[in-house]
Amino acid sequence: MTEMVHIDVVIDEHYEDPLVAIHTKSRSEQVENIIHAVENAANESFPPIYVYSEERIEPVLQREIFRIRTEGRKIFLDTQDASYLVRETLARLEEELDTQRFFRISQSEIINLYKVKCFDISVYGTIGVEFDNGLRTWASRRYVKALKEKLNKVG
Amino acid sequence: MDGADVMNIRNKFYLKAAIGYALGMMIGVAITAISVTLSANDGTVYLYEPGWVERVGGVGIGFTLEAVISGLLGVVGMGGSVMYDIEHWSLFRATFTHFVITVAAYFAAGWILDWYIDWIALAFFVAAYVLIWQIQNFLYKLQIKKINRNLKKLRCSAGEEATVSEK
Repeated sequence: MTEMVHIDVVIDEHYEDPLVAIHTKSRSEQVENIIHAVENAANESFPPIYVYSEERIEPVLQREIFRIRTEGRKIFLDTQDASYLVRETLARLEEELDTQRFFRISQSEIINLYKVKCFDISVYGTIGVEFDNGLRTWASRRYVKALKEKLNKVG
Repeated sequence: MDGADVMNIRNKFYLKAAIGYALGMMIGVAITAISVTLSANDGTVYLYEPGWVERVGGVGIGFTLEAVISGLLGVVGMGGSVMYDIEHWSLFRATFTHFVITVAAYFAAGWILDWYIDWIALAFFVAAYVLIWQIQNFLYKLQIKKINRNLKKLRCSAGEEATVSEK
């Protein structure tokens, strides 16, 4: 049975990204359709990144990306559990990525800020980045000021 | 480091080295003039140390040598600062390397120009560089603290990252 859907829009400046909360008594087919519609609308603005996996090309949603990095002459995209090869340049990928979410931390790496657990600095002055899944990388000091300014707009 | 990075750092080095050379020369000549004039204290303004100039063979050679070597010290000091731009070098590595080449250049210049250099001068260098390194580290720590604070706010404002979660 299709239920009537009520839509409430709450304008709150604290939400940089829209938060969609669905209140329902059960996860019906209608609710699934609503979820898919919202996901599709969100993904339209920021298209998935296509990666090579076992000789296939697969789309990876931007929100699933932890980081994109250069290794030698190759570009790799890391998600929660896997690492994929990408056949694009870092500069080209940067144009497609959600600027709100992604940030370049060095000449060879772009990270998803929403997947970062914290930044730290070692006694030797190396700036470390720890992701939610325990993965670690380092950030160039050159980009710290820009990162601080970007996050200042949130704070 | 890729080719573009190397070229970028090399170009920065050339620019900084040129500026460093000019500044080094001016500062070196000025310091010599001030210290020798004050030491002599006879009402005459000296641009060079008279005894040393005689030893090297004349005012022209002496003054030129002093100016050029001071300029080269500027090249080492200022031009060498590009190592802080090498991305994968830690602050400690960049500072320590700059310290080593600057001290070596300073002592070499001091030997040629007959400066009075002793262990106190070396200790001064060590203290200065440790202070520079610690201050920079401290400033970065403050920035990182602020970044983490705002990162937390960013992630809170995004909710649970648009993943579909059931509560």
